[in-house]
Amino acid sequence: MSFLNLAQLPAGAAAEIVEISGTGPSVARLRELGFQAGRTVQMVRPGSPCIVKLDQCKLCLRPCGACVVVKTLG
Amino acid sequence: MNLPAGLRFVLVGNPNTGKSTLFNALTGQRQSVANYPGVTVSKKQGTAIWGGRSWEVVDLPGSYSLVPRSPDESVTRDALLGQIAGVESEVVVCVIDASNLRRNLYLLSQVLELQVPTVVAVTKVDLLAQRGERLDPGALSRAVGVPVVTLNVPLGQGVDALQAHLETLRQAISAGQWRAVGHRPLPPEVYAALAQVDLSSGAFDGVPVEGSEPSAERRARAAGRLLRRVLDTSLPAEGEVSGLRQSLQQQGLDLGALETDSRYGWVDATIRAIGGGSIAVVGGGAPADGASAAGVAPAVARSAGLSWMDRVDGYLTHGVFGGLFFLAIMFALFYAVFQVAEPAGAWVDAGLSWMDGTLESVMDPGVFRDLLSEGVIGGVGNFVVFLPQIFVLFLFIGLLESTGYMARAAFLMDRVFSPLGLSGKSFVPLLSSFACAIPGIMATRIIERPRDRLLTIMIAPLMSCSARLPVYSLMISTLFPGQVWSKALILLAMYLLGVVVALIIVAIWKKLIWREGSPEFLLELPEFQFPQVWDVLRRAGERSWEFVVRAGTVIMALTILIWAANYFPRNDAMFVEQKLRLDHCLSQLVSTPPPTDAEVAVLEEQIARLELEITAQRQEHSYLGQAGKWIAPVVRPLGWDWRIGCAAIASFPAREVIVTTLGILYEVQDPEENTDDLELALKQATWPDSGLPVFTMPVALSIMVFFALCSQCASTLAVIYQETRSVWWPILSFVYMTALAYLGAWLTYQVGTWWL
Repeated sequence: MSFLNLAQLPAGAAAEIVEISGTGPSVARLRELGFQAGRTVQMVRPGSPCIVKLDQCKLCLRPCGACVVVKTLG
Repeated sequence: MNLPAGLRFVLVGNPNTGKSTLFNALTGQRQSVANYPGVTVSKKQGTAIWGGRSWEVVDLPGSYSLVPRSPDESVTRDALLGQIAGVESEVVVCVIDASNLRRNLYLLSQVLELQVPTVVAVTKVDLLAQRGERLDPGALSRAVGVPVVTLNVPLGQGVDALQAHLETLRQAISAGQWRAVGHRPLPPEVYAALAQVDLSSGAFDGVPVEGSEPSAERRARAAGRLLRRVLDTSLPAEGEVSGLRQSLQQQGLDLGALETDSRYGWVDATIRAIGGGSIAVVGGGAPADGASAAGVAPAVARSAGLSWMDRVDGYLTHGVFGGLFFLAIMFALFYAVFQVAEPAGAWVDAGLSWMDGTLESVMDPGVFRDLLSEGVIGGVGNFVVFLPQIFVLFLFIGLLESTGYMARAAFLMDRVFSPLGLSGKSFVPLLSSFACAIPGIMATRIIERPRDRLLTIMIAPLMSCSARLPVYSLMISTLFPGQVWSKALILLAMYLLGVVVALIIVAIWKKLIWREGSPEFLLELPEFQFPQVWDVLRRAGERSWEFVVRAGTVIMALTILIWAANYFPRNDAMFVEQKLRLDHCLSQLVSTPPPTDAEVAVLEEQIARLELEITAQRQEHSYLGQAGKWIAPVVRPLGWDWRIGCAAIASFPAREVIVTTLGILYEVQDPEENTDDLELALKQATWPDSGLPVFTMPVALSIMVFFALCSQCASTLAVIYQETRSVWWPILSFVYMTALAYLGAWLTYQVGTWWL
């Protein structure tokens, strides 16, 4: 088990959100979209912007001001 | 027909939930339905009739939350807070996408808190069924305390049930029997603090309550609106709002995370209540079993269910494959546009010749017949020829939107936009601008940062809109012979020119004027879906019809003005000598004994030359011809003669006018033959001094470049004013684009004559 930034997840990997921090407006929007500690996100396409899947919903994001810390599962 | 009034209700929901489809089904009013976030860029109103009553429906822009991040989401928030006159809603229909239940329930919770009568309409249950899941509307209704209906609008299911629920609500409200539901997802401290505020002033409920004590319902609604203002930190802290925020912060509550954390707590509890053990499936909360080892990522991917759609998506968003596919789609678009050009053009031409012939047989020669034949049929007809192409363009863009590809393209384009200082979100309004800059500029309301939005508005008119298509088509088919694909390539190059110039402007602007970095980028990629073919066709038809209406009004009016300026003054005294010689030749043609074939040929040549002389002189002495003498030196460096200059200037209110104007200015040279063949007329046009052809490849390119870059649309400038509320932005847009167009056309002609 290791802690990573969401952006560092490899393609296809799923991980659990540990914390969302930062100051950008997207921090609040990520929370509103359902990014909470304990939720599982899956990386569909890494990079900048990346595509992640949360709750069956795909989002592309390049959140400069947000830091999403995740914990890989296992 | 005067039906008794039903209620006024608003449709609220996340983007891409099928709100607009429901709106269309209820009202029958046409409206755009697209599968990317942000189509309903402003509220749409319509009237629905059922149960012998007339109901007012308002479709609000799709929002993820009532805390707005962009101008279009502000519209939704303001409408629900009763701050937009005319849409004070009596009832809210909250549209929920069953396949994204968790996120959609978040918005529902915010709506329920406002304590307005609400009905929940659940869509996309079929997507849920494909995943082997189901949603029990009865259980959801019990959990949230308001009526729930499931809808499948394309199949016509559920709409009548929704209407029945609204009628029941109407009766309950009018009988004073409707009761607010207690919706309390936030920590108890919040409600305790709220209870301290005196809500009877009416300050949060619009109308002050005079005399009598407000009802429990009014009080609940006022409390809901006040709470909304407290939680939405983008709203000013005034009066009670400021006091409540302070009091909550003093109790150690973090206003930033308070709402999302506690509300999602309610959402998860609700999902547990309705789905029981299947919460993992419905909400996608817990990882699937295969996700036990992070080291085997591909296994996780498979077991977590990468469907075939996900794999298709993988290719479409791939840096190389996705990029190539994107280019292929764009090329296919331009190829299709040119493929329809030829048969459609021939068909319209035949119609015009027939109208011309009929006109000549039923009317006596004179000014009015000339006006109808040259001004109206010849002028506007030249524009109508391009209608099938415009239809194809709208159809194509409609399909891209409806399938969900648009969001993928925005994702791909973010890699291009972010180094320049914009995000992929700017791509959506820009692609719409290829059809027309007006909806494009309105679609910029999905962009969060005001400066990014302004910059997108500034470059949107540089995208080659469908009104430029007639200009490009005419120039390309006149001067660039060859295969359809080579013509499509030139067309593509013209479209790319606008894009490249726009990107350069963005880069310069962001680096030198607004020294700021790229905005954040966060966009939902909706599931791919089969396009709503009828909606798309109908929409393309409507947009094309708008062009016909423009052709029949603005363009016809301008065309008639140009025709008149070119036709008058009708001073025939100038041509007495030529007329005599013309009459002499004509009489010889029919003299006895009949002239020999050789004599006929000579006579006909003389007649043609005399007629040309008369029309050329007449044009030179017309009002337009006199104005042209002033314009000529200005446009000479671009390779244009005075007629092109006049046509370009006449096109400033609406750029399509160039085609009709060129038709009037060049076709008169050869009135007897082939009056409808504008291409031939352009090819035959010569400089009076040298006799060399006017239209060469460099000239055609310079015209196209000018039209690609120039600000020639009064409606666009009006929309920029409307969206920016400042006269300076439209002025800046006009000045920079026009200067750029002149410079670009000059460079093109100079380089072109040197190369070609």
